[in-house]
Amino acid sequence: MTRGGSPASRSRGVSRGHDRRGFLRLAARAGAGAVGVGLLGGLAGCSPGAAKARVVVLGGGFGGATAARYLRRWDPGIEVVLVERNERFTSCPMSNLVIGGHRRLDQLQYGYGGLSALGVDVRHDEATAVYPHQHLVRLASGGSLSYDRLVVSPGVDFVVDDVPGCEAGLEVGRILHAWKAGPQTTALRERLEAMPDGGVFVLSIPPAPYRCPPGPYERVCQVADYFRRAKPDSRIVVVDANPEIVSKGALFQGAWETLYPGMIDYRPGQPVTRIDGDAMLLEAGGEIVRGDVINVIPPQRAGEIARRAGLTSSADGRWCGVEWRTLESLAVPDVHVLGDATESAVGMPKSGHMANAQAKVCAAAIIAAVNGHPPDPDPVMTNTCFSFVSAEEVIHVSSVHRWDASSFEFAPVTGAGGLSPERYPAGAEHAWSWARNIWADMLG
Amino acid sequence: MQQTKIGLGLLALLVLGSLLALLLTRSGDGPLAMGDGAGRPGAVPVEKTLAASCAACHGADGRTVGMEVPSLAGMPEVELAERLRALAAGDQAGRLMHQLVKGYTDEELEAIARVFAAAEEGAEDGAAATRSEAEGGQ
Repeated sequence: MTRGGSPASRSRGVSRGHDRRGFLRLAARAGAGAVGVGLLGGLAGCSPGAAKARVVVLGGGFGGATAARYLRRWDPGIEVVLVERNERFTSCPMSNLVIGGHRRLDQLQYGYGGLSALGVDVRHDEATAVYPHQHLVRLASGGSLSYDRLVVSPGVDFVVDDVPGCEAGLEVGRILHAWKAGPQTTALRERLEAMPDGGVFVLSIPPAPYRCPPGPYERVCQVADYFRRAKPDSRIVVVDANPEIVSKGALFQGAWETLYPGMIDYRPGQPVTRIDGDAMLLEAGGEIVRGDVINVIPPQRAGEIARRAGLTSSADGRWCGVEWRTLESLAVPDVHVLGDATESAVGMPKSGHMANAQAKVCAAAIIAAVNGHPPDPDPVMTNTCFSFVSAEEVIHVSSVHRWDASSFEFAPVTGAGGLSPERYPAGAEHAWSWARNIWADMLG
Repeated sequence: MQQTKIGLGLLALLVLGSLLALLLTRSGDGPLAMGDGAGRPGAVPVEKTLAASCAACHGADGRTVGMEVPSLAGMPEVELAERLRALAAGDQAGRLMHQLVKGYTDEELEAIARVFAAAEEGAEDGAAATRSEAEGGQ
């Protein structure tokens, strides 16, 4: 990217900003190149020390916060604006432990002060529209932001109209999703506490791809762990739209049979077809399943702003295709998409760790572009994921992802990564170390 | 005469600059061209991005804030490179690390060891932030 106009000198107004950008683009297309644009920037009053580019990041989760932090760490000459609707970050990883009763939600919450201290302009606001041709984001507060590069990391939204009764049940709160860590997580914990012993907890798992592949099965473990300690006559029914456990299958199965024998009724290949929140039941595989506490994890798609920005390029219209070595959108130039909202590459999970890895590759690619260099042609991404099968014991899966020139895909490296051979008792400390380090890595 | 020379010089500079710009940067709205960004000023050095892929677990710049995962910052380069290579070769048992290092080449592991050896030991600058608000962090 050679558009060297300083954001300080650039008008923030819609029309003037557009005109100037148009001017720069014309100049670039006329072959003026880096030197020419540099001169234009000088003529426009580019003061020394002003930012060389402005990157706007939408979403302060694992992807967006990491991108904002690494852009500033690696190139302080870039102005970074982070737009995040929540005042505090709440971690989805580890939030199943709130449901199991081992942590409070506020122990998984952090402010954005570390990013502000690094010079990230954190705006607690919401993007309502993206105008790619104008390189402009409109904000719910009424203002707008111009950008040289946009990073969209919106996480997932729920598809609630696939199954009759889903939307109504969630809306009145008779059923819970608890799939975005927050009030729903605490509410699910409270309902399990209020449920009498001998009750039934029903969990519905959506078809893959969804956020956090092992998450639903870890949740089953955490609820079972709580029941074993507090309500041993209670039962768990799991209706899974997928033909088998999506992640760490044998390890979860082993934990269920050994630690919670007879408690878990797992029904694979049974997508939920109807939900009745008033009657507290759902229908799956032609059978009616009644529950005292019903947890429906709805099917998912990229966060709404991704759709509005025209980024959802997958065949089903739900996910954002990206060039994996830069995370640049396949649909809209100068826009990068991170995390769960991406159309996952082969073997790539929708996880916080993966989003963190993608964000660093994206930050390096943007910095290269801003400084007039091609991106790294062979970046590496890793994933590590721990699941708590009880209060202390964990299992893990890991993988390494790279560009494979023969298949033309960003794929897991053969021979690298893998599962833990079994659950291990000291794993809780490892998992917490991971959590503390990745939160620090993204938020400072 | 003098002015013409300066003018010609400037023109040559502009032309050269434009050519360089065309070579090095994206033009139009197509996807980014791939190339080797290593060692160029302004680009993030490849060894730094490689090392950053370790940071999620081992802390930014290899300074861990979780007790069970070792800090890598300040480890002697030769020793760290040797341990990483041994893990990758299966000569050293590991719980998880041996799975991840197999995704990197020996040269990459050596580059990673170089970065962490050069990083200073001690707590990461913003480590206080990793205590949640409930624990009295920021």
